Amino acid sequence: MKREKRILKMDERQLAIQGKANGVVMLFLMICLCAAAIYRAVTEGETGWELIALLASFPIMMLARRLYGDVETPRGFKNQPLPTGRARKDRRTRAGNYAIEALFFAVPMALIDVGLSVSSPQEHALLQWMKAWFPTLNRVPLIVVSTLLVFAASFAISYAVRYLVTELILLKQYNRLQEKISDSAE
Amino acid sequence: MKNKRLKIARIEMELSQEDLAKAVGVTRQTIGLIESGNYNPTLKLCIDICRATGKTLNDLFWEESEDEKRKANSENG
Repeated sequence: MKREKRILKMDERQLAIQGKANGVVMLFLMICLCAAAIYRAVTEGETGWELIALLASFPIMMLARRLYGDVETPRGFKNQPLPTGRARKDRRTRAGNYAIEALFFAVPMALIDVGLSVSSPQEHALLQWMKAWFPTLNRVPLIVVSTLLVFAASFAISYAVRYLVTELILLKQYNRLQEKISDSAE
Repeated sequence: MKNKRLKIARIEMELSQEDLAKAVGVTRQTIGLIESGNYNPTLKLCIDICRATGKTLNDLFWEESEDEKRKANSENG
């Protein structure tokens, strides 16, 4: 009987358990990274590698799942399967989901910006930049404009990334796989 | 639910849990957990176990319905 080579020398049960344990460790590390990012932001007025590591973890996880062969239906913000067709109705449904997900990203980013602006003794980089451009504006209007800018930029970036990744990569992979399965089934 | 049929098949082949585990490429604990009904193996592992014990999937892993059990009992008398 041909036995598979296993790099980690674990059987399927141990791999499944290790996967769940890895999820717990990842959650713990993300909480620590969040705490470190908030602490540095409040004390030094800027964020550093902690925030980058936190944000990078999501695309890395997506890439890792893809490398291990995961080609699932693209999912929406409630983890519901999204329609995969090219019809107008399907594209509109997907666009609506991207917008809602972008809101879920942009609102916390805006709140973080407000929190940093108000609580930190030092002004963060965006606030300083805006002060240089709008020297006559007081602190409160500056914070409002800064928050709106952060909200708009976060929304745009999140929407664009989700749109590009889903429409150009995930949907194509999924539809290609479906065609392959259908052809081989016949 | 305990998998007594697997245990019986293993004993018939004079295999310990360790022996069967080595034959199919898992740990002894995994075989023990399958026999005690505390782990659901993948289909691939089920097939490997069947090959190692010389049985079929129906023999070891298919749950008989109550009707089938009654029918089997009445045929055996």
